[in-house]
Formats: sequence, C-alpha cells, structure tokens
Amino acid sequence: MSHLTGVRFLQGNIACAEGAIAAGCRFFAGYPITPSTEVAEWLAKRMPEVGGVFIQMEDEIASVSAIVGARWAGRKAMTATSGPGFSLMMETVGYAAMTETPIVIVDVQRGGPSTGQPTLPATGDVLQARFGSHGDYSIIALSPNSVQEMFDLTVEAFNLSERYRVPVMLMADEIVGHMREKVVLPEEVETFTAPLSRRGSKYHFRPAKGSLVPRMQVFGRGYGVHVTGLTHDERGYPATADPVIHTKLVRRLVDKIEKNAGRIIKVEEHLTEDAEVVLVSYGAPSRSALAAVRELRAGGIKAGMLRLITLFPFPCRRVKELAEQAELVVLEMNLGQMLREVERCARRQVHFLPKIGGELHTPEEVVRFVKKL
Amino acid sequence: MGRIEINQKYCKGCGICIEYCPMKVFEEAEEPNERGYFVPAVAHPERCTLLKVSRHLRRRACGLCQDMCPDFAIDIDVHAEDEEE
Amino acid sequence: MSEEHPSLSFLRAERMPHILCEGCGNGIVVNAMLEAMVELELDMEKVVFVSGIGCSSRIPGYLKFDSLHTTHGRPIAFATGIKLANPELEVIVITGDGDMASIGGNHFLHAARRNMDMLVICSNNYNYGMTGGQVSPTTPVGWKTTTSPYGNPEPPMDIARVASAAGANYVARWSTASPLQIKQAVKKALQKEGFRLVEVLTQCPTVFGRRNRLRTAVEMLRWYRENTVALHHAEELERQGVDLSAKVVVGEFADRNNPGLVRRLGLVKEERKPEKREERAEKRAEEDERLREARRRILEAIERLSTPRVRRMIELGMDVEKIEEELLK
Repeated sequence: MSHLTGVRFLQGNIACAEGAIAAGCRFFAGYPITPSTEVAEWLAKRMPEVGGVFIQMEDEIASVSAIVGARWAGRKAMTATSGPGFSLMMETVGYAAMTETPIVIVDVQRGGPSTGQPTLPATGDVLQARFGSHGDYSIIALSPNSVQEMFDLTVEAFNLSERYRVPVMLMADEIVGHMREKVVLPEEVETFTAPLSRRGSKYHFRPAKGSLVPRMQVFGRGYGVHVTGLTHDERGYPATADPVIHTKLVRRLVDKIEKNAGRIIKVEEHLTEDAEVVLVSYGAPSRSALAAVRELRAGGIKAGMLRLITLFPFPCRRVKELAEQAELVVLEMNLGQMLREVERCARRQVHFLPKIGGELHTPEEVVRFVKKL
Repeated sequence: MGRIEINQKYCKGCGICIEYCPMKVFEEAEEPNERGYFVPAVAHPERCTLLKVSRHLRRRACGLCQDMCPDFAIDIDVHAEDEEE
Repeated sequence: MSEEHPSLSFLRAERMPHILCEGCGNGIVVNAMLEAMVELELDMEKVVFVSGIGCSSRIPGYLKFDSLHTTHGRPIAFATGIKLANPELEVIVITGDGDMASIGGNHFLHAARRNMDMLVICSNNYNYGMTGGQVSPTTPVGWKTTTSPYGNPEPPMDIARVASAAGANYVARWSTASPLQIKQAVKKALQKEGFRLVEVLTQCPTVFGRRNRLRTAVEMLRWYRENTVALHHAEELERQGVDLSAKVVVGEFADRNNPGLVRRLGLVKEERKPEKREERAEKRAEEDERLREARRRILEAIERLSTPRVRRMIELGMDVEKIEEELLK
C-alpha cells in the first residue's frame, strides 16, 4: 500500500503529503495551523492506510519532538506547520541537528510576524529556517514553487535528511500550499535511508570512513546507544567540558552540509547565459518572475531568472558568477532575508523588490521595476 | 563466611548505609580516604543477615544497604572465604 | 550470587563514578527500578530510556540501554513518538518534578489523558537541583530555595493526583525511605499498559535540604519517614478534618485497566508468551553462529574463485562488504 500515482489535479498540501508517503514516511505528528492543516488532515486518513501512524499532538513542540523519537525507533517522520509553530519548534530543530536525526519539517509560510495573516502567503521564515535555533549547526532548506514540486521536493527532503542525517525544512507558502494544479505522480520513486552501523560497534557518532556522516542506529536492536543533546564524544557520551571534543563535533555538524553543498544545491535558470539583468527568486513569486522575464525579453531587455530550489545551503558561487555578468534583482515576500545571502555572495549592489501584505508580485510590477533600473 | 566491601572509587561517604543497616554492620569512618570522602568502615560483617542467611535460603536476604546506596558502592560476596587476620 | 553491587552490571563502568551528589536519592530509585526490571525478566534490548534535563535525567547516560536524553520538559513527547513508532519497545521516561510538572506540564497532562503507553518515573526532589536549588512547582509552601528566599509563597502541585485525574492507568507515589515499595510499584507498573506514573520523593540534601535545616541525606530520609502518611489513612484523617498540608501522602492513587493509546490505535501485536532470558540469549547466539558460518563460507568461495588481489584483501582481514566495494570501484 503506497502513494497515489498517475496524473492528478491536487492541492499543494496534499501533493506534499503524498510525497512524504512516497518517500517512505510512516509517522506524522502535527498540530493544526493555517495554512498547513490540510497536510495533517490528509495524513490522518492516509497514514493508517499505508501502515503508518498519525497523531495530533498537544502543541508544535510535542509534534516535532515526537517525530524525532519516531525516527530513532526506526520510522521516517514528518511534521507540518506555519510561522508561529515553526518558531516554537526551534529548540528541537537544534536538538535534531545535534543528535543528527533525519526529520522533515514542512513550513507553509504565512504573513507574519506573530499571528499576522493566517490565510495569506509570505516567505518570511526563510532565514529562521537556517538560523532559528541557538548555537552553530547547519540544515537544508528547500523551496517549492508548484504543486509538482510539493510532491517532488518532499521526496527530496526525506532523501537529503537521511543522507546527511539532518533536519530538512520544506519552505512552502500559502499559495503553493493551497493552489491546485496538475501533478504527475510516478509509480517508482527513488528513496534513500541512512545506513545502519554494525551491531557491537561502540563509536556510534564517529563518521563513516570517507564521510562526515556517522552510520545510524535504531532503538531496540541491541545497539545500546545513548543519544544526547549535550556535547558528546564519538561514543555518544556527554563531554561538555572538553573544548576539543566540542569544536570537533560542532564543526563536523556544519561541515557535513557546507562541504557537501555542491552535491546538495539545486537551482533553476532561465535565459541567464546572455542576461544583463537576472531576477533572483524562489517559491510562489518565482512564477511571476518567470512571466516577467518573458515579457522583458519580448520588449528587448536581456532578462534572465535564477530560481533558488535549495535556499540553504545557498548557491553562493553561482550568484557571484551571475553578479559579475548582470544586475541582480531579488524578489521575495519579506523585507529582505535571502537578499542578505545574495548581497553577501554578489559583493556588489543588488536591487530589491520586496512585497509583503499577502499579495503575490504581479509580472507587470516586476517588469516596471526592472525597466526603471 | 563471606565479605562486604565498600568500593573506594564510588563511595561518596553519605552515611545512609550506617543509618539503614538494621544490624549496625557499618560505622562512621575516622579518617577520609585519598579522595576526601569519609567512607564508612565495615566494622561488624559478622552481624550481616545477608551473609548469614542467603546461602541457606538461596536468594538475597536483606541487602538493604545495597538498595539504599546511591553510588552502588557496596559489594557483598556471600561465598568469599574467611581471611586469616 | 555475584560479588559486586547488583546494579553495576547495568551501568556503563567507563562513565563511573556518576556526577550525582553524595546521598542523592536518584541512586536509590535506580536500584529499585533495576531490581524490578530484573525480577520481571524484561528483554533489556527492547527497553528504551527517555529523559529530559535535570539530575535524574542524567541517569540514562549511565545505563547500558538505548536511551534518548532530550530537551527540558519534553521527554514524554519524544517517548510518545518512540512508542507509537515501535510498540514493542518498553519505553521508560526518567524525569523530575521541574522537568515534568513545570515546563513539561502540557505533555505530562496529555500523555496521562491519552493513557499513552509508557512508564514515567518522576524523581521529585522539591526543587531544581541541577541548576543550584530554585523553587519548583512541587516545593512545599514556606520552604526556602534560591528563588524563594523568603519562603515559597505558592501552593505546590500534587503530581500524583493530577495524573490520576487526567486518566492515567496507574499512579503511585513513594519516597526513597521505602525502596521496597518503589520496586513493587515499578514492577506492577511494568506489567500494565497505558500511562503509568511512579512518583518518587527523593532527597536533595546538597542544594535543597541544606537550605531547610535538613543538611544530610540521613536527615532528609528521617524527615520522609516521620512525615509520610499512607493514602488510605490520609483519606480517613482528612474526613476527620485533620490538616495534612505539611505531610506527604504516599500510596497508589490510581490503578485502572483502561486501554492504552497503542491498543486504541490498533497497534498491539498479537499477545506473545514472553520469552525467558536464557532462551533469548540462546537464540541470539545461534543467529550469530549462523552469520559467522555464512560469512566463512562466502570468504571460502571468494578464495577459491579469486585473483591474487582478492586473496590479498582477505589476508588483510577485510570483510565481505569491503571486498565487494573494492571490486566494484
């Protein structure tokens, strides 16, 4: 019993839920919050159908904690939320990063800050995805811009979380979550599961040879593994007073993503080869950006688009290359978050067209902005 | 006759065993050990019920000191041979 | 009967001695709990300890079992995920009064309400010990802590009664002055399903007792012995109008047989006769022997069909997977 297949017309949130099932997710714990609730409602029905478990927990902190527990008991697990819940989950994100627990968190972003605009889109949580918890660590964040990507990138999120033993955030938004589009759901989906260590090995948190990622364990199989959020040595034992152990561990947690960035980063480019102005965008606004590029080209302006599919790790090198050949215009539904990453990497002036308030950038206003440059 | 020994590495000198032993086997130490703890002396092992009764009953009789020791520091060997002084 | 302390076979010797203070009540809870587990012949490989943050939460790090040392207040939420993902695991939460009843109050309440299958052992030492002795939701009125230097003004929470009211299948409270009762409560709890809570009043002489004229473990244990009242007796006294607010009431507060959440979700596997420890050990040894035999046969076959390169790899002691990897490169 597995995921839905074939050509269908689905809501983004539903496609995401089916993507989780296709990726092998068999545990969902969540808490209702607009505009993510459909993910939970759909999986409440579907999880038992595919031999999975669904539970609505008492709050978001309980939800994200439960999925960490479930993964250590051997089931791939996911939760879904929006801004206020995402904020609540941050301590546990740090815990999952520190204990190298593969989990997927879906954030269907809405207007913030605080309770904000529950039913309208925004992309205001993206920096929080990367820096929301305390201390140093690294995560992977993906940004879907279509219902198809709600399916595909959810599968990708699970695979990445397993490969790098890290929490992966799917940064959707209310538009992509609630819109309905044609999706093609394949029969076969490639999945990856973190390999297990040998029974009897004691160095549970020592990275596998040639890798920065240790092999995984599952409770109940005789590993006798102690998992803790305290700074720990390679056996997993607390070693809080040792600067060498702490440095080695935390550097590895960051390096395992940053040093593998080349393998993780995904972008989509349109007409960038000869572009003199490149629109940098992600999520729902990227659809308007693409329409704007086409219109600008029709009007004789050499415009192109760089769409960020991985928000983090950030495609720094590509942005720097494009900055050397073209003017960059960042479009996002916040007051300047990925903008900072673009500026950091472009090392030159970057133009910015923010839009908050819950309405998508229209292609016309993007065109007008670019023409004025 | 058996042997009772307090593990010098684990004992932190809390004195609960002295208080709880119904047969008053343990007594307060005069001197601290090299870790600075006042490890109780096993003054009267011959009074210990567990040593006296267990080998006949074939199960652990008493053992209250071990139940109450927060540092798991009391080792009791029922079958140890008597040591000549 | 082995010579060493009975708990030692379950402790990670390379981490001993533990960081708990002299006379701390937590060690007594460990002894009672391990004895109960041994007497029930639990499959120790299926036991998972989950703890939060605090002195008692450090215990699983010293025990030779799978364990998850989580964030402050949340072990019950993590434990819920573990148990639902694999109901065959025996999930035991080790927590404290601050961890469970303060920051963890919400998770505590809902797990009890759901009758979520887990055993929670709550070490209640009336304060936040790890951080130096601050007031907690169970500190008795008037007692001194670092954040209630004029005497605690707040009425405390009765953890056992709250769990019972919320719907837990089993709730018991004892103190470390009566280790046998703790063991019996844990033993009884481990044979039930649903949410089971054993609250143990534990002495914290170092940062709490000392500020309240109970400077040693022995003095605190005496205080428990002199001030505990059995539940049935307490109910009678309360009916007579006696004020028991300065006393500690111990006993079994709830003993129900309602279905746990695992059963309600239809996740209970067929009832299996629990295997004896010796049978399990035998089965495991047989399995290991079979694997070793298969490995040996594979290596023999490789040797027979192999090139000098492969033979060299075998000589170097590489095992089958490594050899395969090399050949595929």
